[in-house]
Amino acid sequence: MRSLPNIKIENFEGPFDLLIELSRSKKLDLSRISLAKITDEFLEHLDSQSLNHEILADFMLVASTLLLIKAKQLMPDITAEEEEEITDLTDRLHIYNLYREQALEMQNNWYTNSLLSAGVCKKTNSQLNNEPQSWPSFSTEALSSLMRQVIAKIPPPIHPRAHLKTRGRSLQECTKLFYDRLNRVKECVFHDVISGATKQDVAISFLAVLEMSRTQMITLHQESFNDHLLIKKAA
Amino acid sequence: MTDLAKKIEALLFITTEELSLAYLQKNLDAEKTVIKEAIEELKNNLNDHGLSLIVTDNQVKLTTSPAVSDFINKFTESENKELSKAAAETLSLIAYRGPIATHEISIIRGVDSKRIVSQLLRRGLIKKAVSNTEAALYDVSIEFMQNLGLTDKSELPEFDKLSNNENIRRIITDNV
Repeated sequence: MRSLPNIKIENFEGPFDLLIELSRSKKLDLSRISLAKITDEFLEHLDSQSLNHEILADFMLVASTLLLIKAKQLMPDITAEEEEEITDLTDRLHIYNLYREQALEMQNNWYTNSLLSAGVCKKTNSQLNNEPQSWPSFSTEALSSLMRQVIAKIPPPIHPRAHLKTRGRSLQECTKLFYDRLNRVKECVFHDVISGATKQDVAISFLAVLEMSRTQMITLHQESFNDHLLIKKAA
Repeated sequence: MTDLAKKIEALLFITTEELSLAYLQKNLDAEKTVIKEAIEELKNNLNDHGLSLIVTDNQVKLTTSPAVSDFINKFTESENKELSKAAAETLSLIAYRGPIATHEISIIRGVDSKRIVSQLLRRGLIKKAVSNTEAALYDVSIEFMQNLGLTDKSELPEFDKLSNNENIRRIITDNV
């Protein structure tokens, strides 16, 4: 018998799998008679491929039972032991077939309608958030250093200084100043008296002079406009 | 709904993970049977909701319900996780026959299943179950249940027949 060209032995998980496929392809059941019919093909497959030693032993075991089945077709006398061996194989094949069918169903249904766990779907706008946000890395030291720089750049507050200014001369002081001088020198030039004084003092001094003139303590003389102001003690 | 059931519901919500019976017993200061009853109550209460409770023999988890599966699965990126034939066969056996040992799986499949069992363990689709013997026993995980849309193992097709098959028991026993 020629082996079926499409069936590769690597595709079979084991000898039982192969037997079942062979029976199916020939539309046979798993009875002894059927198994005898496919024994040759089974052996052909065994020959055609190289199997690793682990799985080969399993195939060999089944092969030997198949040969026994076939032999008993020709020599019907059978020992109890042999009977048991054959029954064992057929029984096991039937049982294996039951689970094998379920396994095929399992392969079809696998991962098709799964029951999902919590949190497997994150609700995000995946298009927008594909790139992870890259934040600059900040340490607290960097932050405080930056803060210090910012503070350093702030201009110092403008302190109101008027109240800290040296108090200028008062009217009375200026008046006294002129009076004392006139007691000594009889007359003085205003420009000379206020020389080096602050503007404030100049102004106060002038007011003092005007007041002294009004109260006739002194007389004022000026040759021409912008000329020096001569101050004389009143007689 | 009883206070206990409400508390369990709230805990499941905030933790977002599966919770073990042991965890619930400890934190709710209640007996195992009482906790199980409350879980049953909560599960029934959620019957007509968009959420369901997955319940295994020692764990419970809040998930979306099968009723809204079609709709809700549009909101996740389905990474097209496929199941290999070997994985599906092994999972099928563990789901129906679990807790089950690796060598039992090998007997039924007719091929050594140590490697595939390790793989499934790593993927988180099966977990180790409590074993009284030296052999490690395995059962399906809640993640497995979620991927198949099951809230309970009994929802597997022909569960009764395939989980309790007497022939299987005999064959396993004979071949051990």
